[in-house]
Amino acid sequence: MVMDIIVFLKDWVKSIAIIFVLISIIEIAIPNGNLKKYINMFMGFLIIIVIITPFVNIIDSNYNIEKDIFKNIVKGIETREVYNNEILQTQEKQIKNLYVSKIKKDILEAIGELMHHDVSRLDVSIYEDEANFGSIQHVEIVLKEKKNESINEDKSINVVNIEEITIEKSAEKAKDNLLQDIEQIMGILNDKYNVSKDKITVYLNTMGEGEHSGKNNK
Amino acid sequence: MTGWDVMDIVQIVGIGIISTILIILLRQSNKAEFALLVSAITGMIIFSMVIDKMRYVIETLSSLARNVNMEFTYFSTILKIIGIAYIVEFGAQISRDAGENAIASKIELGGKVIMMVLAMPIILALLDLIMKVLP
Repeated sequence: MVMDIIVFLKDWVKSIAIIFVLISIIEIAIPNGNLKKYINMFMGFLIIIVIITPFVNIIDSNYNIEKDIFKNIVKGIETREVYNNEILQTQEKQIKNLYVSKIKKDILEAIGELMHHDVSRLDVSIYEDEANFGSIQHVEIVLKEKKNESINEDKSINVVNIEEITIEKSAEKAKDNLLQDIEQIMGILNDKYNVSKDKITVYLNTMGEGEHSGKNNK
Repeated sequence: MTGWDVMDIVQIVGIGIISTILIILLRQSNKAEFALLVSAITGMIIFSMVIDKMRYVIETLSSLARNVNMEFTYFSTILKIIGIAYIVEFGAQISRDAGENAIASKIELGGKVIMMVLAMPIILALLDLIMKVLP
């Protein structure tokens, strides 16, 4: 019992002596400016902690102040992470945009040269829920007729000269071409990305009529 | 070791005097903007010369603190705070030299806030400790 008290006092005095030596060294090291008083306040706290801690250990031998401090530090880090969330969100958005644009490029390459139409616009939306994140939700393709194709048709109109029939014929031909192209697109998308037909919408942007883009086929 | 240290202080003082003279000459020839630049660069050079020695001191101190089983969290926090104090003083003095007292005090404000953030866990733990001591 007496030995215990002696050991306790020895440890206590030792830690006090060490903290004062350290503090006097630090006093030399700190720059003398406006911040000196703040550092002094901080070191005052340290002295109090070093003096009190052994008595707390007598009452509650499991108590460890370092664990407490660490817990508080972790709490601080967690609150900081909440602020970081905003940055994370924008980052996620950027990643998503990049991903979508990559998919678009990939699809454009896969479709390649169509027989009779050009792809004028391509929209891709992806799933954002946990289960199937990143897989394609919907593909929207806007086609427009190839220019040289229509010129050829004009020529053929000139040659044949019978207007009524040629218009009907060319309209029918255009429809056929369109269906053929759509079939091609759907086949490619289905093969490569496993996108079912009901997830693909194709519009035809008719030439010459500018803004008007009717939904032609689904 | 000692001779080397003496040479170091001669170097530091030499750089300081030379840059002081340079700054005075620049001011007299109405080139105050270069004077500020010279003072900042001189500060950096002296800082980088000393920082090596500082590492030696800190390593000794930390081994001492480890030997006596002092809680290491205190020590690393003290070192961080001293580092912040040095950097803040460096920046604030350069701004003050340039006559920008407002910016200097803003730099000091930033330093104070960051020091408080570092000290906060220890203050909270201290309060907790005191509550525990009370019956």
